[in-house]
Amino acid sequence: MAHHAHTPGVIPPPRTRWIWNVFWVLLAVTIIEVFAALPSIRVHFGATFFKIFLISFTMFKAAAIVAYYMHLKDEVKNLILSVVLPFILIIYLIVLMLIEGSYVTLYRTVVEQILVQ
Amino acid sequence: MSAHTAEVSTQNPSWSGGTSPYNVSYGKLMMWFFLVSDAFSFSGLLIAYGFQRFNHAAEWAVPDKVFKSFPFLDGEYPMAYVGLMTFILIMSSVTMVLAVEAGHRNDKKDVIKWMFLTIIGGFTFLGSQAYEWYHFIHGTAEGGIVEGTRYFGAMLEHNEYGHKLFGSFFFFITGFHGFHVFSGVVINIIIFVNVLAGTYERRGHYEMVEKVGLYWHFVDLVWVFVFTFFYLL
Repeated sequence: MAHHAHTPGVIPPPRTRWIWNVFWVLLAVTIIEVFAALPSIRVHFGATFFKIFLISFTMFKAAAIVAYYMHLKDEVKNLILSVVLPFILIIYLIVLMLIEGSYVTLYRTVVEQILVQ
Repeated sequence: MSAHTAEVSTQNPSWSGGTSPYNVSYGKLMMWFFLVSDAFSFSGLLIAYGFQRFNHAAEWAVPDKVFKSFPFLDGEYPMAYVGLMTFILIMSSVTMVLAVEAGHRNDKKDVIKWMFLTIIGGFTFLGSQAYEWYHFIHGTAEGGIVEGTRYFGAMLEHNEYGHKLFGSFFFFITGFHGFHVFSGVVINIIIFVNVLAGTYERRGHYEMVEKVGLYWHFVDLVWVFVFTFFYLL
């Protein structure tokens, strides 16, 4: 090994099996997603279940890309935490927007009722 | 003296100075932080999209009925083409990670091969997006009735498929992502030319390929979310 590192012009053979393994998983997940989203298949799911199913599959795909393709898994803990922890704020924003969204919907329906009267 | 230094370094070796606590180069660390901030921009856009869609759920466009055309084929193939676009982008992500792997081995020939395929994948994706936009803007021959008016195709202010905000968000979010892909392709080409010129071979490492690789994977990552929230849900 050390001998190879000191010899100029000697290129070690590629080790790419893991890259293709991750690829097949990503491809399989994408195909399942597209298939499940087909209009004729989608109707068999409950609306909430369908959303949770799609979002969790998407999160899984995102995690696979970040961890393996972007090599975040191989970085030190300090870097992983610095990159991942800020996204707590995004979860917070989603929660805020869900609360605000149901309020705005309620408000709109009330205003529309008043306008009809 | 040496015992003292040893004691300090066992307490918290990474933060005691002298070395990067992140164990990466400055450029790579900044790329990560840039990507985090960029991810925040896209999160803001997608959350705004979700918010408005939730508010106008009844009038919102149904993605299956909007994105159903396929090049060179007649008839309706809902989601088939965006599925293919997703595949193209994931595939170009794979070629990028293969280029990075080849860079680790200082294998110039392999880096050139995989970088080239990544650029081809990027252009293919951009072409597909242009096709999508063309069909979205031109719409269908019969048009669609929204709030009592018949519209043909999609503009920023209104579209035939549903609520007017659907078109605005589509153009903005996929446009913003497409611009990211475009700049990614441009950066990839610059790095590709540098690889051809042997810049990184002389430097002794291919870390620049890793950095553009991070950006390219991020573009793929954003598409994964745009795909789910815009087309599938």
